[in-house]
Formats: sequence, C-alpha cells, structure tokens
Amino acid sequence: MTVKEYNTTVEMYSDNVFRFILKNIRDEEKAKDIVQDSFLKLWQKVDEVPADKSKSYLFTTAYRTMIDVIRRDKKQGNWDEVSEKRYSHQKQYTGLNEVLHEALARLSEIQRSVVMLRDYEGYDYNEIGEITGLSLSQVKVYIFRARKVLKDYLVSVEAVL
Amino acid sequence: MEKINKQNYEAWFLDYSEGSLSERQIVELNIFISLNPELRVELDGFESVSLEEEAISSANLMDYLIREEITGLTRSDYLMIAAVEGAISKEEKAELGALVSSNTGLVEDLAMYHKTKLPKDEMGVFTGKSGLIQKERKVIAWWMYASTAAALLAFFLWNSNISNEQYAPRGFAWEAREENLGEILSRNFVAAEKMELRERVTKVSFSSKTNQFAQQNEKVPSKKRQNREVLLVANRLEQQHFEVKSKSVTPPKENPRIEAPIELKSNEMVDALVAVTPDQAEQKFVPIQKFAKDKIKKEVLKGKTFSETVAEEIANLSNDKITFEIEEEKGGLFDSFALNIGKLSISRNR
Repeated sequence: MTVKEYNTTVEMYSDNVFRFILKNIRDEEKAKDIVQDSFLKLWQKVDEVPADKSKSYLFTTAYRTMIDVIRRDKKQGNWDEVSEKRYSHQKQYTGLNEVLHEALARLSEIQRSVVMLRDYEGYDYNEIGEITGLSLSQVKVYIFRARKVLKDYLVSVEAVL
Repeated sequence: MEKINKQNYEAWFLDYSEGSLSERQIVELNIFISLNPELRVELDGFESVSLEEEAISSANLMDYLIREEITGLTRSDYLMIAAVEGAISKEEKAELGALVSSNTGLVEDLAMYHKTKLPKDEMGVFTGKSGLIQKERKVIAWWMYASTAAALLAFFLWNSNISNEQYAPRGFAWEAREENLGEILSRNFVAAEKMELRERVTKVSFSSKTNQFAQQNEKVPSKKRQNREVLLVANRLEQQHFEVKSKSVTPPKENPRIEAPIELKSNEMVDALVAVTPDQAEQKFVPIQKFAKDKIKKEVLKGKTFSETVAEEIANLSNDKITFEIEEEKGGLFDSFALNIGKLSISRNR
C-alpha cells in the first residue's frame, strides 16, 4: 500500500472504525485512542498490507485492541461504571433508533460486534470471522442469537408503549 | 389475480377475509404485511373468526417446541432470521411461507426481525483524522546520506570564519618548531600572512602617494633593489611573527640589517614593495582557505553555487526528516543556518 492509499484509507474508514468502537465501548476518548493505535499499526505495516485489505486489517486491529481494552478495564473493575457514565451520546437517538441502541447495549460484546460489522459495514460471515477470529458457524450463531435478543427487546418495548 | 401491491391490497384483504385466497396467495399477503406493518390494522378489520382459530394448531405448537441444533432457536425464528439475513435457501423460503400462512402471528415477528437490522448510522465523526494523515516519503539510499554529509562538510568549510592561526594543530607547541610538521605548518602560516601583507601594501603602493614620495626624494629605487627589499621585509615579518607568537621560538640567524620589528607605516617599505604585483603574488602564495574553497567549487559544487548544491541535496531527501533553514544570505555567506536530520540538529550563527 502506498502512502497515498494509506491516506485514502484514513479518509474513508476512520469514521467507520471510530463509530464501531464507540458503539461497543461507549467511551469517546478510549475509542479515539483505539482508532489512533489501529492506524499507527497499519502505518507500521504499510508496505505489507495491500490496499484492498486495509479496511479489514483496520477493523481486525481495532477490534482486537478494543477487546484488550475491555479486558483490562474489567480487570480493573471499572467497566460497568464507566460505561454507564459515558453513555450520554446515545441520548441523541430517537424512536426506533434509540430503542435499537438500547437493545444493542443488552447484547454481549461479541454479539454486538458481529451485528454491527454485519449491518453497518456490510461484511459477510467469512469477513466477520476473519476480523473477530471466529469460525463461520460461530459468527452465524452469534448473529442469529443477537437478532433474537434484539427482536425480543423491540417486542417488549412495543408492548410497554 | 394481480400481484399484491399498495394499490390493490384492499381487494386482497377482502378475499382473504372471505377465505378465497390460495395458500400461495396467503403467503404473498403475509409477506406484504410484514413489509408494510402499518396495514396490519386494516387487515385485522377484514379478518374473520375462523382465521383466529387457525392460529392455534398442532403444527404451530410443534414449531414452538422444536429447537434448531446449532443456534438453539425455534425453527420459525431461525427461518425468519435467515430471511432477514438474506441467508435463506429456496427450500427454507418455502418452509417459512408455509409456516407464516399457517400462523399469522408470525407475520408480526417477521416484521420485528426486519426492524433489528441496524440502519446506517452517520453519528460520530472521528476528529483526529488530520493527525493520521502521513506525508509522502521517498526511499533514501545510503549514497544520498553520504552526498548530504559531503555537502554539509563543504558548507562548514565554505562558511567558516576560520582565521589562519586555526590551521595549526590544537595544542601545538611552537617550541617544537624543530619538528618537521611544525616547521612546515609554521612556514605555510607565515607565507600566508606574508602574502596578505604584501597584497595590502602593494595596493597602497599603486596609489598616487608613491609618486609623491618618489618626487619628494627625487630618487626612484631600481627593480633589483625593490625585490631585495621585499625579501627583507618578508623576513622581518616572519621574525616578528614568531616573536609575537612565542617567546621561546629560536630566532633566525642574525642579520645585521634587521635591528627591530618593522612598522607598516613606513613609507620606505611601501616603496620597496611596489615591484610586487598582485598577479605575481597570487601565483606564489595561495592561502589554504582560498585553496580549499577553489577546490570545493571546482570538484564538489561543479560550477553551481553552494546554495544550489545544498538545496538540491536537501530536496532529494524526505521533507519530514530533514529540514534546512537559512536566515540570510549575503555575498554567498550565511548569517545563520540550521540543519535538522530527524532528531539531530546542527546549527551555526556567524
């Protein structure tokens, strides 16, 4: 990948990676750090990563970095507390979107990640498997179960309303 | 019958309520409703009691009990999610159609599953994008570094304000003049200084004062005498120099004609030096600094100015790794400059 292609990758995917991480960890500062780390790693391997694989490389790196951050924070015991505190940006959503994002928060980390990679980024099961390190059938199971959880939440909210 | 759409759906609802739709048509109707859930209320108005009874059948009960082996979901959930995911086979599609037609309650579920698809979200923009952009870089070969180093060396030599004294080795003891190296260096040094004096005096001698002096004395010295006098003055200068530089310098052989250090203001000396032209002097004595400059100009700069050569070298290197700053240039010399190579910075002020 050339420097020009790297810069194009920054322009095209930095927002996507940022949103993906932000929705998962719900901490803007940490999300920024993870995005910067991911692009730094991409830059360090700029001669090795082909341009057409840059997006996948970025998401893979960002995802793995995010998992590390989540594990580290969980070890420190402040994850839930931090998540709740820094969830304020979600308040901007309205209607179905808001309900959906509340439903997303109820998914496990891995379920949330695979659903977002599927819906926001349009990755197929194989690509999601590459990014998350899961097998094809694992990806499918996580997505199907996640949809069930989301649907049940939507039904329950509609029932209340 | 025409395919169901938003223009003819009421006729379909009526046929449905009367039980005149085929199984296939009921599936189509259900799919249409799942895609347009807002019409569900209208359909409810058409529905007959017999359809409600249909909802509770043994087939539906089985559907709730049997679970998919891998996902652990009911068959109907699995098929509906597969439909939403676009990962459904033809057989599964037909199976789903049959399930939905036999259980109208699944229509709502199918609509709900469609809603679980996350809409494209543009909220949240990464603000640190500009910090990630990288400048274009060039591959820098080792010889580029080498040529830059050569240019740098030339730059120092070209712009250094080194006086002739600095050509002597640091810590060199003039007492050791009897050593060959010391002698050679000191001779060169004296020769350069002598040359400088000759040039200066010669310049003066070409002025009109020389003629006035000659007229006043009504005696013009012969050329032979002038040359002899030049050598005399040069020897006296050399003697004077060593006396000033070091008290311990062994004086040259006694010359009865040299009694005291000469003084440059002497009109006699000006007269004596008139025979030496600048051209002749140039051929005999070349100060080492001038020699080095000429050599570099000819062999390193190759006809270009120093600024051009350095600029070319720098331009060949990466902008983000090497920067070169010059404050002012006057007559080919720089007032100050700074050369930054990565974290290394070399700077000098005149």
